[in-house]
Amino acid sequence: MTAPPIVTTPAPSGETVATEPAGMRRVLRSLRHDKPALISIVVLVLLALAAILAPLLASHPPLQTYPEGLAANGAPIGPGHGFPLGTDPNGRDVLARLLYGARVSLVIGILANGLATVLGVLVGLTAGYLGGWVETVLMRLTDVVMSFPILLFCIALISVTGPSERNVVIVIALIYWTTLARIIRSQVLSLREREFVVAARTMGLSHWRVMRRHLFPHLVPTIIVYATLGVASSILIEASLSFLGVGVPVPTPSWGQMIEQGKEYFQIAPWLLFAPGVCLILTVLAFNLAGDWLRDLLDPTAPERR
Amino acid sequence: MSGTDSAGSRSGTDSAGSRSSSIVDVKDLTVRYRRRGSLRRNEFTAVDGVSFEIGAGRTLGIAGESGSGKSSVARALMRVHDPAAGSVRVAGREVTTLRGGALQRFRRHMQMVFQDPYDSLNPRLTVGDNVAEALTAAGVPRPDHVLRVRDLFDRVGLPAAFTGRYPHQLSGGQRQRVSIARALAVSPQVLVCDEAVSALDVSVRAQILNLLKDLQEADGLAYLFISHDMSTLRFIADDVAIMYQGRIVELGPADEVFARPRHPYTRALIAAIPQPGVGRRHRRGLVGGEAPSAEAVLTGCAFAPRCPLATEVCREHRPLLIAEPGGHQAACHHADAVGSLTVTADTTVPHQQGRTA
Amino acid sequence: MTAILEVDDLTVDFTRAGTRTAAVRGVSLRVEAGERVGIVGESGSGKSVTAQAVMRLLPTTATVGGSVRFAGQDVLAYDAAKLAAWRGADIAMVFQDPMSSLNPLLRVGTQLTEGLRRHRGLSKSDARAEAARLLKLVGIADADRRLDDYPHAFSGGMRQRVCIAIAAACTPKLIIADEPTTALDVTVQAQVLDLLDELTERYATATVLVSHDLGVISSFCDRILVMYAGRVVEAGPTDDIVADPAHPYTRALLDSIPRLEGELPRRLPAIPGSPPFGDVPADSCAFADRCAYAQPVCRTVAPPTVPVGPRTQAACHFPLTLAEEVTR
Repeated sequence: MTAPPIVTTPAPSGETVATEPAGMRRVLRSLRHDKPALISIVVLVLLALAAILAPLLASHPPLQTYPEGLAANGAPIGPGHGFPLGTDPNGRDVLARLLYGARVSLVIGILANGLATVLGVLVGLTAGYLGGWVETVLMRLTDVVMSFPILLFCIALISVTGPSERNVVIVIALIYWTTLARIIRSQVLSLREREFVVAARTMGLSHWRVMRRHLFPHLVPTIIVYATLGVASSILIEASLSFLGVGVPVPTPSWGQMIEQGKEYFQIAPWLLFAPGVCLILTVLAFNLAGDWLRDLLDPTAPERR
Repeated sequence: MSGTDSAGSRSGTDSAGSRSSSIVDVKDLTVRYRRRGSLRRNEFTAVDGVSFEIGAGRTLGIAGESGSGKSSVARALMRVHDPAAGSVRVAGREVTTLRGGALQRFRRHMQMVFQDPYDSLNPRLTVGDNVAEALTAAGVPRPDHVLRVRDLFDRVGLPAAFTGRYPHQLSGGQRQRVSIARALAVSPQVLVCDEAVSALDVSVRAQILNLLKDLQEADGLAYLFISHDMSTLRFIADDVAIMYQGRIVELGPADEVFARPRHPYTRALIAAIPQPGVGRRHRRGLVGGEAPSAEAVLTGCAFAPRCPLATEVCREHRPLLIAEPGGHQAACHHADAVGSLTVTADTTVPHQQGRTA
Repeated sequence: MTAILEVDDLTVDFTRAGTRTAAVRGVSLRVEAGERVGIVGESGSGKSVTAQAVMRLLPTTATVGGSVRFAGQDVLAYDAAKLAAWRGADIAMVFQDPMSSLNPLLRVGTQLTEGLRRHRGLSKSDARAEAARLLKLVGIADADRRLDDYPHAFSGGMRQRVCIAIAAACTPKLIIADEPTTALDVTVQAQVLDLLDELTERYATATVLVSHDLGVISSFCDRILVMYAGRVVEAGPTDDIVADPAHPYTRALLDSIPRLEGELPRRLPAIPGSPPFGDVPADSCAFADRCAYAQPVCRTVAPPTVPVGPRTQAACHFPLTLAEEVTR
């Protein structure tokens, strides 16, 4: 997603502020004042590191089943006993699966959702701004996609293309852009009547420039909120797909899959649900808080926090 | 039959400048809007056969109340909303048929200053960048922007140091100056000002009006100045058009229209303006009721339901815009009786027939 | 004559994010029965804040000082029950936006009878009859039937008439109208001002009219208060002030309105700069930076309010009414 350039601190009259370093300084300063955002960004960096460094951090391979990882009655065993977060019903190390699962889930959460966001913004912005037949075609298309039964649609698509991580990303993006497209379109419809947009149109700027410079920046808050919430939804859609056997091919772990599986064993092995659940909540929370911070950072009218 | 047929036959347009020098020439302009929320093709007419000219370097003021169609005229001229019929010629060139690149190039001839200084600048860009956008549109190479923006700020009386500020850091009057600078950036010949000073504080309003007059004298700009405030128009306009229900009901040199209104609505508009020290303890309301909704369909004269002079003929036949020698036109069957109108005490409002369906 | 409303040395401060901003300083005003008093000022002058302070409508972030007495009683000490009984019955307010000051989901009749039943204890049918009478009074034809309409069925001017009918319902002693005609077309504004005139004449209701428009204020009010940056800079009878303003701000304001009669200058006499925002300065005249007559003392000492004519006061070190002999 293309973010508008970081704006520089508005200079009070007389005072001169150098352009480049000021942008970076402003980012750092606002982070210093926004503790939740700072923590969120740290969490996101740690998650990314954990996913990248999974082979180094995991004490067991994620796919290996361990006979000693199951109790005598065949039930998974709890945290401790050589498995820091316990084992799953197949006797696999939950921590290792969690770390490797982060790769799949984050990639899907970010890529699928990012793709859906780009698609939704493009469709909504074009439809709302241009209006006329372009709008009719795009919005009817949106309605059609929205009216598909989501899972059925996914199953159908993936059974044609074959289950793979890439296909899951594409399929989720293809069904997930519609809501955002509608929200963006309705926002653009009211924005385009604002006087500064009418001014931009009447001064003879190209459509592309009006959309990019005079409409898009005003949609960023909505996009950020929607996109950060969408990370969770995407991860969970992937879980449903996995549950139905059309998600990420089976032995590869993902958080969604683990949650899906953990639900069944919640009574006897709650850690199966808690471990990926907590990770998912943390991720979503971190994305949201970081998103809020980014939104304020990009808004020159937001009061600077002290 | 249009009420403006006679507009073309206008003879001695002394104060409106000679025909050849008119920079804007509007003929039978009609604007229609789709009724909201209707599935069928269902339109109402916001502007109905309006004709006027603006001479180079002159100001035409358009007065009227909400729903009179005065802003729709501006939007049609600016091609924000395409007119349904009629012709608009700017500097001799028909603009209603322009498309694509030709339309974009035309926009340089005509710029607009908006009503709301809080809404008319992009709040995400510095005011300098807001003005620079217009330079981009005009094809001014990027490296020249800084200097040109400073020049423009200087012309509208803003310090160059303001270029780095955001709109919300400026006062209403300063913002309106930025809007004017932005409009001037493409060196237009015509400036359309839609209620450009209405939202400003009284003490600031005079500054902006003076600025507009100065710019006009320096550059020979022509203004289409739209306002509901007759006293503002009296100051800024050379000619005044009064609109009611999508039509021009009176048009003429400002001095003439103010001194000798020939339409009862014009008379009512002038009488309704409270002026310090004048008309205190007098009835202000010359007419009762309110303008019917723009969507109402009426026969006869649209003003008849509110008009103290209305007779049978007004309710049945729409009056034509008739020109007197001297270019003063009015669309009223009883134009000669307007001068004798006095304010009545009865302000009881008849039941409104113009309610939206 | 006894005063209905006596405001003495009113101050209002707003506390936001730990910082205190002075919004109104030292406003005093006295309204007698049947009197029409106008408060005129630009954005940020504190005119609306003053009106809201009198009605006790300010948010909790506001600190109100000084005294507000209504028919001799201390309004600032009223508790919630007392306030509810007072508002609507003894004092009523008309707001700027007739679109949003009526509840769109309630019939106009319901909104009118609410106060009548509550404050005047009328029965349902009596209240309805009275409501119809009120609608007729404010010039709405076919009143009986229109009671059953919802606000959206009325035009802007009609809605403001309804609001005035609601305000007048219990024949309050005082109506505070805050920019009641700003959202209306000029011909409708004229009707609404005529209507307010009629009400004051008929019931001897006192009116405080708040507006940015000196024309509206001076054509309606017996007395005027001119506010600038949170202070009253000039006060007195309308005719005196319009004829012979003492404060340079009042004079400049009057001059900057283009007249409908007589010769117009090529350029309007304009006031440079913009109205200030935020704090009311404690140790200078807020108008000094824009004032053509400012002297060094204007920037160091806040001018006290002094008599500048037989019936007028102004807060200016160099009132025009007195200075003219000196400078000429």
